[in-house]
Amino acid sequence: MFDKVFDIAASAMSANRLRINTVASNIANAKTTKTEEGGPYKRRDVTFAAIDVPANSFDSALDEASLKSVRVTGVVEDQSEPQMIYDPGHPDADEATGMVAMPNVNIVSEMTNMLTASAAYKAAAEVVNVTKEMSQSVRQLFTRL
Amino acid sequence: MKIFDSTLQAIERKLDLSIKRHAILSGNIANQETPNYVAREYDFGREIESALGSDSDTITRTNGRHMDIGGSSNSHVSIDKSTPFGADGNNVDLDIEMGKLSANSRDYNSSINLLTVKLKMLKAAVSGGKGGF
Repeated sequence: MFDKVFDIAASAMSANRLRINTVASNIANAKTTKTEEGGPYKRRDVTFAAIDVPANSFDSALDEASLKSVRVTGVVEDQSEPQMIYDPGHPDADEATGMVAMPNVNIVSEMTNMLTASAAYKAAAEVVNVTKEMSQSVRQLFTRL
Repeated sequence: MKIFDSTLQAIERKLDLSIKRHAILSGNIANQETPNYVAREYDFGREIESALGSDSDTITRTNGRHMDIGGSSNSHVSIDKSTPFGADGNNVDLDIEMGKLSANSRDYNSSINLLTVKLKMLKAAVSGGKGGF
């Protein structure tokens, strides 16, 4: 049963690591006006889904039906409009209006996102620690006798 | 006289339930950001009560792998809607879940201590008072 808990905590840590990577990419590209697809960079976000922990025996099939780990189902591009900034000297500025399409990245919301992901990651790490202590106390049982 | 009395069975049951609750709480913590995930909780009291019910005419499950005749075997895991839902349809409160996790692990460790004491008593008995304490 403990190995299942480690799997669940690991799934949360991996999902939140990917989320922090996405935030890093968004912050790094906050001013990127040229992309391969054309136009400014679009901010990316991860989507999470709860998935069943695979059961490996009849017993666990009964008991763990509602045990869920987390998985990243995809990295999606935020399709909201780019921010238009007046900067006629910019090489990507519209020649007629002088407006530049900047990425739809909001640094403040990215930082908030990063803090939430970091808290979730720490919580999962704490679960690993508590679980480790619990499984160690069983092993110590035999030495304490 | 029974060597392995009902106390050992009760401790075993309690340890088993603590581990299951630990897994349920870990699942909640892992899914604290998952849209539409509703927190789960383990109904503990009823399980312990039924495990300790010593009426000889009631059927007790002596092994976790036995089918539970008394009712739906999954009934002890419930959906916990006591905390407010966020805009994403998720109601996991990280602080509450971490608190529950820590309390549950403390329960587990005290059960292990109890088991140690029981086994030490048994050891003292079989070694004529030389072992154990």
